[in-house]
Amino acid sequence: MSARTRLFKELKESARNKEATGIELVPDESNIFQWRALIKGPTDTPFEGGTFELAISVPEQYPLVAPAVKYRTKIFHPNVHWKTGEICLDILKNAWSPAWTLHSVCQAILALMSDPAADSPLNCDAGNLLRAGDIRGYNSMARMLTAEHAMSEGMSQG
Amino acid sequence: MRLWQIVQRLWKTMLARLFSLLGEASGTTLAFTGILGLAAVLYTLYQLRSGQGRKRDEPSSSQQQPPLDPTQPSTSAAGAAAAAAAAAASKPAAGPAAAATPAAAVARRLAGIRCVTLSVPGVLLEESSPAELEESASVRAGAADLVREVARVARVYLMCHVSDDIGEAVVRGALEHAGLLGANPGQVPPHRALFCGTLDGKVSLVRQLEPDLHIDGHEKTVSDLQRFVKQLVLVQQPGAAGSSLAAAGNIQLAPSLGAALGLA
Repeated sequence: MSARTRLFKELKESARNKEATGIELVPDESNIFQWRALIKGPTDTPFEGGTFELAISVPEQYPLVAPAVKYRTKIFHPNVHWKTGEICLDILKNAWSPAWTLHSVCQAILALMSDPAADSPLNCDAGNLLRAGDIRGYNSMARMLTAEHAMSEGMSQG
Repeated sequence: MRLWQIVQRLWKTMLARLFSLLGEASGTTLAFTGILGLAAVLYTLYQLRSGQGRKRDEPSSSQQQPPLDPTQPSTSAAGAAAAAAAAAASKPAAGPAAAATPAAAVARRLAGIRCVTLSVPGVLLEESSPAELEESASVRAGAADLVREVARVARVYLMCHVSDDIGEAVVRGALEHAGLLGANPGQVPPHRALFCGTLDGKVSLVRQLEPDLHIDGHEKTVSDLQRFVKQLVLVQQPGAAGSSLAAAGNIQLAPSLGAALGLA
């Protein structure tokens, strides 16, 4: 199955799943290899209430090769680079399998938001707070930056 | 705020009408001093009204703020308002530092600085340890006015090391009560009041925010941040025991927030 055929199939399925998972997957109008995903900050996390945009770039060899995914919305998380939005997630690197879909990748990213891995962080400050057991500081900063960058009301407050 | 401006404009037109009436009816009979006296009375009334008007305006425009204490000094209410002229007029009553005009001094000190982080214990608050903050948090009157001035010219983040939810609630309550949190000019948006549970955590908070200036009352935080922040101020009461950190390079020592911001 070519990457293109597979992507069109995923597009149909993701439209069906949107209601249940809250994940909105939209391909670029002129390029099926460039996608945009909108995910909602999971409840009971400091990201709750925020909407985060992901940029997904699908390679020609997909699904044999993993898509490149990064955050376009700023997020304070130990496994996401604050400035570039790069995500450290095994399934996007060496643990990729063609069984994953763009939709399930988004689900894995949502799971990462709920369950950050503090070792080998891309954001040292987020990682240090968690490793020091300073949940108060981690939540406080993540909530504040969610309000500043992932909520429209927060952004208007400059 | 818009409503307030309309009220203010109405009041001004009313004043103008009143004066023109007086002029027509008894311009020659009323002594000049009498008119001056009347003007003074009206002006005082106007000032009083403006103070109240802002107070009423404040809680509605900021999130989750408890009702403000009526005993709150009127200078702080005025400082939180947008009307720059009125604020300037009430400034001379702000405190002993009036001679240097705090606004001008702060603006001069913060030239080129866009982001300021401030650890509140021992700087803005009388209390300096998480244990003390369990019991109470008192905002230093003069310091609150200065933070308002800083918030006018730079993006401000307040932070506080507390031991638990009680400490956080006590400190947040004190900041709200002092009118420091809100969406108006001269206030810090409520979500920019940050809390952490460890001293090292505070260092991470500051590093994440990459401020141009960090002000702190704790020596270790300042020394930990020396390599990461352009300008640091350590605020310590004169004669504080065991201060081994010396003013050097990017570290300034100051006995108070006022001194740190270039006020005598």
